[in-house]
Amino acid sequence: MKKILYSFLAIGMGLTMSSCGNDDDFTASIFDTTVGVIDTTASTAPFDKWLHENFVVPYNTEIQYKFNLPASNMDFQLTPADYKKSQLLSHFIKYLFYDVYNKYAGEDFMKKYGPRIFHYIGSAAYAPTTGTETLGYASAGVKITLINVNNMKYWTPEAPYTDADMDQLNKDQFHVMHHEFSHILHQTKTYPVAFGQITPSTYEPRGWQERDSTLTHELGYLTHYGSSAIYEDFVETLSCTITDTDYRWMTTIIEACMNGGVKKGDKEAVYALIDSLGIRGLDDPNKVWNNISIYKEMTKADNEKDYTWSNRYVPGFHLDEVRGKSKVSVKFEKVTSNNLTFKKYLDEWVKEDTSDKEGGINAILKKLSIAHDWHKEKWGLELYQLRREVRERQEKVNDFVRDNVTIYDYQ
Amino acid sequence: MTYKKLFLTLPVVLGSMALTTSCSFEQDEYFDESASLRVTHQNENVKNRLTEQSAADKNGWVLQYFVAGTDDYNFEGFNLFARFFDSGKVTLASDHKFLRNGNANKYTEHTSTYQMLSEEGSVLAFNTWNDILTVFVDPVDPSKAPGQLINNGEGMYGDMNLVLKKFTDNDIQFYGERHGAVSRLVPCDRPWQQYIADTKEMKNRIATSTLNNYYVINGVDTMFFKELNKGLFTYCERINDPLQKKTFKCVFTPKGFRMERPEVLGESSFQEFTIDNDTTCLTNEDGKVKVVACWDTYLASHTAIWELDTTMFTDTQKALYAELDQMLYKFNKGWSLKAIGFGKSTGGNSLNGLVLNCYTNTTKSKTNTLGMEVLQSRVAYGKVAIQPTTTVKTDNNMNAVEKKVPGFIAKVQEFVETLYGTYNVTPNDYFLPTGGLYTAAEGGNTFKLQ
Repeated sequence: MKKILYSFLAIGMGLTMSSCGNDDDFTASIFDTTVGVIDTTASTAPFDKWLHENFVVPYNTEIQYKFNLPASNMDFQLTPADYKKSQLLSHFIKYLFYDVYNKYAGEDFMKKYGPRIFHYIGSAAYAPTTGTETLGYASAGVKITLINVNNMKYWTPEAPYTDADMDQLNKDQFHVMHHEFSHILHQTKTYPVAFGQITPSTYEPRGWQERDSTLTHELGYLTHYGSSAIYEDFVETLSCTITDTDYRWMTTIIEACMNGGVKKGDKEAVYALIDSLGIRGLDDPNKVWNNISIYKEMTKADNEKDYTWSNRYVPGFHLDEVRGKSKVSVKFEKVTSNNLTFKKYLDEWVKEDTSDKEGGINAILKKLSIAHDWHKEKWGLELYQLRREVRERQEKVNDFVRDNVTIYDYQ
Repeated sequence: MTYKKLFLTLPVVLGSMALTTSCSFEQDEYFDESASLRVTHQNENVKNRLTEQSAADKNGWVLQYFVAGTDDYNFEGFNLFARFFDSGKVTLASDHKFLRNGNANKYTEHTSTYQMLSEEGSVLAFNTWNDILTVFVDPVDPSKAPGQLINNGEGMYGDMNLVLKKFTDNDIQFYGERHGAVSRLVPCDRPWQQYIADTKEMKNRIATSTLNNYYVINGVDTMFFKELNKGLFTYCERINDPLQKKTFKCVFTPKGFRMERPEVLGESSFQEFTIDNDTTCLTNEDGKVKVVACWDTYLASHTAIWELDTTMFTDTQKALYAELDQMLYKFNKGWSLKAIGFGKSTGGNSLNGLVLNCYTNTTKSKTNTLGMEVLQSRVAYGKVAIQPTTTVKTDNNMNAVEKKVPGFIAKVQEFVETLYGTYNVTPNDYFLPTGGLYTAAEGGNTFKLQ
């Protein structure tokens, strides 16, 4: 009986399948096959041609500078990017990103691992429920979305980029670029498990944005966002190393040493890190890090009568931020009579921490070491060398734009 | 059921299933082309029409654009102007108040790109930044959003990807892909800046802060538009304390205005209104619904002094006018009667009603007013009644004259009595009258205010 039943089923299935044949003839392609790769009649043809020659042909990478709503993130309200700023950004991606990796990782590296798509978004991307702003994202290891392109300062011969402009570009664009690319790299070759075991108890996926810088650094993170998850921490470690300014690095180091977590040998390691990062003006008296003020944080909850010491110190350069993020009343008492130089601060004021406290500069140094070694072992790249190369190129960026960049109007 | 019966039944069931469920390709052909080809061809047709109307000898398009999801008074409909080129370039222009870089309320043009996309339907996508349009789409930092703007990071709920809803040569309608923002392209019939100027003139003509209530009538039913001048107005069953109301956005045109969405009054639907040739009202698309300013109510309550045309006075009125002039002379040799009118007197304890406008010096370079309360009320559409008050009320200036010239108030009252009655009124302007002809219907004497 089973055989008969199977036969009936086979007949039935045969009828069903055979009757689904499509006898329709294929019509002409719905795509326009009469135009070449570049539509020379398009108003954006010159720039499209440049993109084709500089990204599509060598890297099989498409720069989607024209807004693609279905391919964007519908969780956010987003706008298209400005055409001229898109052109400038594309040149920067080539100059400060592809050319850097080409130089040190070989020409095949970006062909093989580079993102297949860059999508530009003009506006910022706000998440009102958390009050956070997304700066970019990487999708499936193939696409990097760069946000807030329209906030980029537009270069003109009359208004070239200043150091402050480059800092802003670093923060808004280059840091994001390297952050997202690092996601692609670790999605290809995973990072060591040990990285996530350095500060495993303090990752905060939801409330990371509520932490102030003093706490973030005290906990052993380079950035607030890095404290949201291990994989974000990992790529922030890489992108900060490559793109963060001397100012950001030095203030991070100072803060990460201020409230414990400095283990034996860490002070020497900090000086070695400063050397590796190529920090300039370590002894320059005009630098922020040679004018350090340290304050005791005094807090008072609504139901308390007096201010009491919260058991942490706050550097003068972050008082406003700490006050702004505090959920209780806060005031500060200066504890250093004279402004400290960095060396005096690290050598004398900072005490070695013999407790079991996890975090601080010790955690940051460990994370840097793992990230650095992973970059070298898995990809053959020297992280600090990339930083130096990017910085040198940034310092020449005005010459680069003036001599090499053509910005097209619509035709 | 026995196995034998099952063997007999099963082939029939399976065969039937195969016949009924697997023949989807034998369904009727509703279209001549596949869905993809239809969208592709529709996109070609739309683009051809967009560029054709954008030729140098034509005036391109008016994009009537509404942002979605807010009842804020900042967001009436906006007139944007567009010229589409075959190369994918689009030039937009406007003078709206959200233009940036110091261009707010200044005529500005900006060029960017567009593309006809084939998604589930045709989509007109403005895909690079344009100062004119994409500013409505730009999100606002929640911490920096000004009070009147949406502070949830969404910005003004504008759309720049517009899904095609209706396509004819002269009417292309869209809804926004993300927020459903309503927009419509219509051929521009004049140079853009001329369109802006003419639209402003029309808006100022039909919708002012002085008179901004309107009847919406279809010969059977009456509803009201309230505060049309704000561009985001209320549709209600009565002006004061309406029980039900809807808010609508509208965009003004050189000939009237168009609402964001259609609405109904009884059996009649309406969306766009154009001013009638005789400028008495605005009429909808099929001529069944009219929008008429509540000018008759305004006539009964205005405060500006409109003077009576002395050439239309009756003999009695002429005699009374002369007597009042002489009494003023007795009051003060420098005083004389300049005119009698309706409005609000300007002196102490000022009143709405009959106003005597007087010269107060012999060179007739200075004036003053004397007021007596007179009741005016709207009886029906276009019909106003002038009635006596229960007690005579006069302002301080008239009392001062009465004190020195007894009988003055009584004489003024005599004049007022010649006007008691019901009048059919023809205003000199149906949207903001400054006078009109009062034709006596019951009692009274025909007169003219100017």
